[in-house]
Amino acid sequence: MQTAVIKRLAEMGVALLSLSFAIFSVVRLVPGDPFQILFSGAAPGAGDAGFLQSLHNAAGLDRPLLVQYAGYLGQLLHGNLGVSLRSGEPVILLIGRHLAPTLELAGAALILSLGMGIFFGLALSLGRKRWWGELAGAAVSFAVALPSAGAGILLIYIFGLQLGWLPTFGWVAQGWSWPEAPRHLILPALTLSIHPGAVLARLIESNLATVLEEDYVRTAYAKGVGLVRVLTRHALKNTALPVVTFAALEFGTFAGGAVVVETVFSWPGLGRLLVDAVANRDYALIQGATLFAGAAFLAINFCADLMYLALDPRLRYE
Amino acid sequence: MLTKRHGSSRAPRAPLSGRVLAGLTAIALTVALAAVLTVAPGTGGMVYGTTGTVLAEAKARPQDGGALKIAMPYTVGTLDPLHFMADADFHVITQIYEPLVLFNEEGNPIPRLATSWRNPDPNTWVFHLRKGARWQAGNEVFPKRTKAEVTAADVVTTLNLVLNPDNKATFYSKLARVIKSVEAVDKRTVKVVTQAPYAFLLEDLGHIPIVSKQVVERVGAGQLGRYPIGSGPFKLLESRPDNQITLSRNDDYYLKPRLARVIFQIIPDKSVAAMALESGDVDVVTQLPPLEIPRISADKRFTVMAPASGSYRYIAFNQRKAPFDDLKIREAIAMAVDIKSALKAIFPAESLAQPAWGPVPPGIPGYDPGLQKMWTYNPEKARELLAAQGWVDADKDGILEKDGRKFSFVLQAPNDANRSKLAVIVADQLKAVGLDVKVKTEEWGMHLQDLAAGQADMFVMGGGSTPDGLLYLFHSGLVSRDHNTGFRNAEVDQLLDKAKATTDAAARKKLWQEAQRLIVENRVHLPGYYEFVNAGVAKYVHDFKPANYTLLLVAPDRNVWVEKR
Repeated sequence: MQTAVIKRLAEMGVALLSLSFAIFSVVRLVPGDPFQILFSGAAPGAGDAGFLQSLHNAAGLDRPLLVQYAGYLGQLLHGNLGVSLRSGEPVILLIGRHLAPTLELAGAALILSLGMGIFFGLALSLGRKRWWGELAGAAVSFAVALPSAGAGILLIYIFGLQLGWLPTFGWVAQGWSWPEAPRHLILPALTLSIHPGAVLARLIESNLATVLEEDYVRTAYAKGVGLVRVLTRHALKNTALPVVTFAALEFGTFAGGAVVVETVFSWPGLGRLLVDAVANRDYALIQGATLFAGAAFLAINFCADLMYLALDPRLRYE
Repeated sequence: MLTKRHGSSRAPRAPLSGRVLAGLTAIALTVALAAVLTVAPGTGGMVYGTTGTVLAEAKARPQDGGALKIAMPYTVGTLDPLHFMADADFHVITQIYEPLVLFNEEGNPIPRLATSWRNPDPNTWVFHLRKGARWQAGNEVFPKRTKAEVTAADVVTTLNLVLNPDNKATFYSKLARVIKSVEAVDKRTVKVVTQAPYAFLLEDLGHIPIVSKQVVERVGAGQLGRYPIGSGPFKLLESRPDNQITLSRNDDYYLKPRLARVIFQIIPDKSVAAMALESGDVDVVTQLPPLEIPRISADKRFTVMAPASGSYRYIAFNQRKAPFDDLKIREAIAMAVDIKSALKAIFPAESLAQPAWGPVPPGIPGYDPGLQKMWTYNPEKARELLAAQGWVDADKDGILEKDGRKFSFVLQAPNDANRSKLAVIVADQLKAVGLDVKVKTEEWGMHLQDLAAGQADMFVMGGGSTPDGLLYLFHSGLVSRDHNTGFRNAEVDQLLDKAKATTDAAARKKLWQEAQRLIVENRVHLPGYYEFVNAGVAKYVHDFKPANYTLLLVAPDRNVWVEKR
């Protein structure tokens, strides 16, 4: 088992290295020049051609791609992600500053989507051919189809503007304060969780449908075990693996930043950091934020794998 | 989003490497997609004005204290006074720092750190500094109750930082070719000597926030963004550049600000910003989304305000490409375009834009409403002119040809809503006279790159809406890569050079108008419109005017305050 873990870690290293190279070259191949974009916002006449060239040279962009990449790798080995071309701040600081809002949102959305998924998943499988099951089915189909930008604006309109119960935007920068921080968190987390929650409901429903027809479930019923106990003791446990897989994939994606929801809710997370960086062709920042997202994704999947081992004893002997 | 499994009856146990690969691919794709989809901020540029928006001022008595929450759509790039670029950065920086002068809505200089200035000769500018202007105290460099005065040494240090190529200041290349020397005459007098007479020195210095020599010596020129210590009316309290920037009143300022706090709230989605205004979560929205304007202006709780001066937007010919090198062709195409009806289709409110007939917007010296007479809309005549140049529809397919070549080309626009609509409408108008126009909208960075490379046939662009704007739109030696039309006209260059060296405002305005007439005659651009970004302001906010050159909250003629509710 240890060798398997080491092998996985090595694979992750290779994956990150490939990702770093892919992003490094892609951002430089995408048309658009970082300094040209920067100066297009400045007062007319600022930044002539010679000056732009000197900025290019200072950033090392005049060197061949592979030489630049080698330099970048050397930096990375020293734990240095470089400096943002736009703000001049170290990339690692920028990522650090955007991490808390992203994790807060991702965590809340994960919990909400798990709750919704399990609730609606049970409702779908137990409520077949009943009116509330049909209702849940319609709700889930609607939720799967709902685009998150539209859902976000709608929620802001209803709860922020018309009812006035919740703030219309933003993240509370001044630490985690009750009740301000959760009040700001509700709408974005809800928006972010609707879609994965609905998909998870379908996933649980289909898994339960198979499990509930298994012989051991019939045996359990036969020896007089009630529905609740069948579900908790036998059926749900066997749907845990797909749920963990799904949750890991979702959280892994959220941890890299949720672009649309962060934009609609003025949430200063990694997703918006990355989008701004791409619009500005802020190379070091794009690379840093992407590498971070990739590493977070890999790490979370690695944790999910360890959880499989805990959940399913059979896997320990593979 | 990643692999979503609908209705699979087995646990999704794809081999992990496959999942990881899918995940990483998704991340890479997101980056690539974002490159294509992001709408970058427009060119904007600083705008100046002469026609101030006069506010119906309530009769309430000014109140002291309170906070003003301003919603802005764009992330503040940096608070570094030497390296800022965008308007949003400047709006925040000028609350904390002060240049020698600022400009009001009428385009007149407002004394800030300099109280007066004179020209003993055309190349020499002598600035007298304000007595009692002090550096903000209560920070790493100036402890509480320090009374460090702003002196000539600070101004000299700042300008020399800008002029030193090693510092790579935003204004380096612009000022280095103008300024010969900077010198402190005494504690409160600075002498700036130019290489040649230069009319726009005040405007340029109006973009240079003065930093403290002591701060520079202590933290280094590269670290100023982390130590925003200025002499302006507000101090930085907390900065999260893409979320919230909080400023607090500087009690040592020579005009005491009435606001205790100013909060810049970054709300990237403009319709959410409008809702935040309506729900009372913010007090001012700097950019209302056009479609919300009719509704918000009908609401008694708010005022919709336009800035004093607009931003110039235009369609240009790339004169490096035939047949656009031919003035007759450009004249014909100009006749086929009806800009007024295009604007009616693009803008839901008249306060948002007015048709442009020349490149100098109203509110900028040299604006000339008489230019309208030089444009006529006459598609019939356009067809005749094109036929006279040999372009006729011989094969009756609706598209003109000459020597077997069809008149087809690409009109390229940036992907912001208004300019891309303009491109589509104008393309339709040109199709009506037999031109085969394809519209291509590009992401901002790609658009800029194509323009710099001279690749677009015709393009939609904007900018240069400043007193010196014509230089960077039309002067063949100074033209910006973003406005690359290939236009080259010795007479225009001469007039602009002469204007640039004319410090007398009235004489310069005449030269500017003369140059502008020539430019319009040459049909370099089809002027589109002057765009006025509308702000939404709650009625309990008093004395507020939307940013024109910069956001002025505290000035001799205003001191923004909020009514307690």
